[in-house]
Amino acid sequence: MRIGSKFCIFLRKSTVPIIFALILSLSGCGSNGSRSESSGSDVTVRTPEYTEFSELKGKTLSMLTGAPFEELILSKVPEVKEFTYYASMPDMTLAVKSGKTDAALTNNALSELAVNREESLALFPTPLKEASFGIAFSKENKDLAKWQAAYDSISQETKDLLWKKWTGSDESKKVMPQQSWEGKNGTVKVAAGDTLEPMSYAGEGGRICGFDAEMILLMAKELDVHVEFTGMEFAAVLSSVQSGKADMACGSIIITDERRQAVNFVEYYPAAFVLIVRAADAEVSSKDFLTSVGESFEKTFIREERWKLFISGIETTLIITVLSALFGTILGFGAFMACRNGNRAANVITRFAVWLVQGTPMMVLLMILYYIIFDKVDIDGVGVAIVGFTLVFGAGVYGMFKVGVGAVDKGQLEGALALGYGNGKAFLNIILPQAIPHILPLYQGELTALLKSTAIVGYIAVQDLTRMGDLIRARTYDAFFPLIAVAAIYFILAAVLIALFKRLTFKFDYTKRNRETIMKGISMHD
Amino acid sequence: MLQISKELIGDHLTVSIAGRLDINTVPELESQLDSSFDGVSKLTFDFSDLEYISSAGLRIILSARKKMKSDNAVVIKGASKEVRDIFEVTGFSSILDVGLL
Amino acid sequence: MIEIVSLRKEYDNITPLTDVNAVINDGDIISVIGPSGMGKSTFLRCINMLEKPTSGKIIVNGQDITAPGCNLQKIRQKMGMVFQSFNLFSHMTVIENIMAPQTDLLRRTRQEAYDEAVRLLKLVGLSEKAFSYPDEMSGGQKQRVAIARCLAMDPDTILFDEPTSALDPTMVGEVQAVISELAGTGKTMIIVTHEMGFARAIANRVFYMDEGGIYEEGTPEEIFESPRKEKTRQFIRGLKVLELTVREQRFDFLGMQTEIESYCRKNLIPYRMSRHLHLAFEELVQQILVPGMDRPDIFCSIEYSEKDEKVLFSVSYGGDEIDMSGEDSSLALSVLKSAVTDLGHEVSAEGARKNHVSMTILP
Repeated sequence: MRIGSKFCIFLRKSTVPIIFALILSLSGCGSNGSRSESSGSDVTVRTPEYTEFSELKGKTLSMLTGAPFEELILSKVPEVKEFTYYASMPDMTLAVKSGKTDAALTNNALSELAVNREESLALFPTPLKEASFGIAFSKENKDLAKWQAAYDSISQETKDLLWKKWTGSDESKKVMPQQSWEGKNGTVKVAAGDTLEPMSYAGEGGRICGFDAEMILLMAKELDVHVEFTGMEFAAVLSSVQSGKADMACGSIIITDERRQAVNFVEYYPAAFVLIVRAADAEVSSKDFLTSVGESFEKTFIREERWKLFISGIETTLIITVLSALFGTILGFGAFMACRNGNRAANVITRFAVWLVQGTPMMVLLMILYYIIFDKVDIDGVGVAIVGFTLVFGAGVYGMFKVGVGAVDKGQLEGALALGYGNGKAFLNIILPQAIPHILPLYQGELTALLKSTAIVGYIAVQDLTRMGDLIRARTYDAFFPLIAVAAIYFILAAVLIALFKRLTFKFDYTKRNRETIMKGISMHD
Repeated sequence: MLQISKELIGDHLTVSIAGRLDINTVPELESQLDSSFDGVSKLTFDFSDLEYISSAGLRIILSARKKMKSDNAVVIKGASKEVRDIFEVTGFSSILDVGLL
Repeated sequence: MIEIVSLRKEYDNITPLTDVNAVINDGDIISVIGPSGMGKSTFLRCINMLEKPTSGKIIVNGQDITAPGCNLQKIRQKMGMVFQSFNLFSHMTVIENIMAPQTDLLRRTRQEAYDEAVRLLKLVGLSEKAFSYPDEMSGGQKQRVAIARCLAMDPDTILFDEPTSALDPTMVGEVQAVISELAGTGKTMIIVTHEMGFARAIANRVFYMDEGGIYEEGTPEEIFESPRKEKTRQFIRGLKVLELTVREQRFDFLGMQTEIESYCRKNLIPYRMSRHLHLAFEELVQQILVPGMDRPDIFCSIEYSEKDEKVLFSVSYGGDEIDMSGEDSSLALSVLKSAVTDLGHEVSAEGARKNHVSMTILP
């Protein structure tokens, strides 16, 4: 079934961390809430639990899912107990804090921020590898040299200040500058990762901010162009550049040989692979339950007016769901009507399309639509999602009508035809009303399934409800509250949708009528 | 279809016939009788369980009677109403001793 | 007037109608009878084009309705149909069933349609059921509503497709009574039925269908009293027929005996009669006829009439006449005579098998 697959993946892969996260949130281990007011803008120096690679022998080491760095670790630590993988930074840092894992591999930007925020964490003193961050350009893009030159013209001092600003824990400083220059040379589209704090992430009001983003603005000012950021999943940013949907991509991208084969880079800041470990003097602070829940609530909804992110996510989710349901119903019903009278061409086409759509995983279908079919077409992710879900819902509606109409006795059509009804009128007046009670329960189920399955649109750079939950999670390092909030909102949306649907369709169900409606406008004089 | 059983007491042979005696089953009875006439001076057909007899069956009784020395050496017993009717209409009952038992 | 010209209907694996021709005059009431599976219903469903004929023409008041582009809806509005399975619209109450075609097709107002529906419900005696759903009624009531719905369109012709076949025996009468009532209104009616008494009483013409067409037609008296053709006679009298052909000296006597046996058992022919039939077959065919023939050509027909509880046995054979009273046959003949009566003998002038022997098997 196509229930919010992303949600599903998350649950499957990290059941244990989630449970941990729940316990931690409830027991008040999270201590980051109060740090934003403190002054420390420098890198915090704290004694790590381990300082030599040899100490990591036989320990558990972790990295983000999909990061292929086992070899790198094994080259320094020949023997580890096991590797574990986490879907997001918040999950992984929680795992380190709770002792679930002993060290977590990330890049210098992410780790510095994590350590600055979390008193109980420290940086392992020796980096595993040095590299460079990059801004990705399509291979065809001729402007790369100009941007490189612009970067080189910025002073090292400015760059370092910028680095400190974004990796520090003083949230009040983290404000993006206005694009106050003229922008004579046009606008560039930048695909930006939106959960990669501090490099590139959705900040207040969902706007992209971070070290990468501000650096691009500095360069853009030199070149006098305006920048339009589009936030998306990290997995999508490079594809966006390759398919031409964006001119440039940023998001904590470390330049590797493999990536160089796909895109060109402006090299712009030293990167390093480092390990996060627990601090040697880590002490468990305790907060009572209510305070902790209150803090989580504040972080998730109130701070930076994050409730607005939820609202805009709900809007997007609803737009996709309702429009897909509407168009899908029209499409499915139209296909059914075209096939009903045994038109060969219509039947062959419909059967093929249904087979194709139902045989393809929804996520793959969306990505094919977004990156291949609508590659060069000016249509945003929401539009593509509506097209994709319309196809899927249409296939479902077509099937429902087949089942529903098939359940009506053949004699009903013959009875109508013999009275002199035309084929169409017989269908609309006689067959359809009898099929509808069979169809409605199926339709209702399909509608809720549709609502939930839209949760994967994050893969094509759409900021729906689930995605908003991810963004907030990435900022608060708190798994519990945003996830529960998202789940609850889906639940309420589904209930509201079903209630509306029932009101809307009540009168189509002939079994729910009474004598007054039947005899409306007739005087029964005798 | 046809079951035949024979019982010889002294010179008296009793042949019990059950089932249908028609063109299909007559040859079987014929072969059974041919081997049994030596030293027999009295022959009784027990038709208690005979369901059906046609002219082919009558002929074999007729030929059995010819083989016996004395005229009244062949006795029919136990014939049902239907079978007796056949003996009646064909005049067999006047040349044979057709008894109920 | 409805003319049916060379109507043929083929399905993938069966051809129920090969060549049907008929003229149905206005006001005719026609009963269509015949054995099951002989295309009676197919014929009826072709008349209103629910089945598309393979070839042939159906001309309704001068218009060929099999022609492409013919306005079938208009034709069907004037030609109602009553189905074996009623086909009432199950999502509507009784009153709506009768109103819907009027408002949907005749542009009557809801009030007009309602008034007409009330009148028709009264006619079929179901006024109190106006707000019932079809599922809540008995078969007989449903069929009466179906007739009322059909009448609401004020048709010139009504086709009845086995209207009482799906009913409990206790409900057949109420439906037949309503149909009989309609017979006096001057509408043309074509009724496919298995109820012989009803078929005879209501009709002015009867079609007997067999062999892919209208095998025989006539007034009810003609068809039911003195049918001219063999199959009609057999059907009307409820005759069960067994036919046997002997073509060899050493034919399969045992096999034929078995056939006669199972024929008797199937038709519940009494034991004594079946024994007499066996005797008659064995003595006449096996003992008398076959021995006198080099190449036998004997055709036997056994007819059992349920109505009269009588078995007729007739034999025709080719070649020279056989002397049945000859010396060799005397025993067989006397046995034969014990089993049959009315033994007759004649020789016809024409045909391959000129010699005919017939008899009635004794009970």
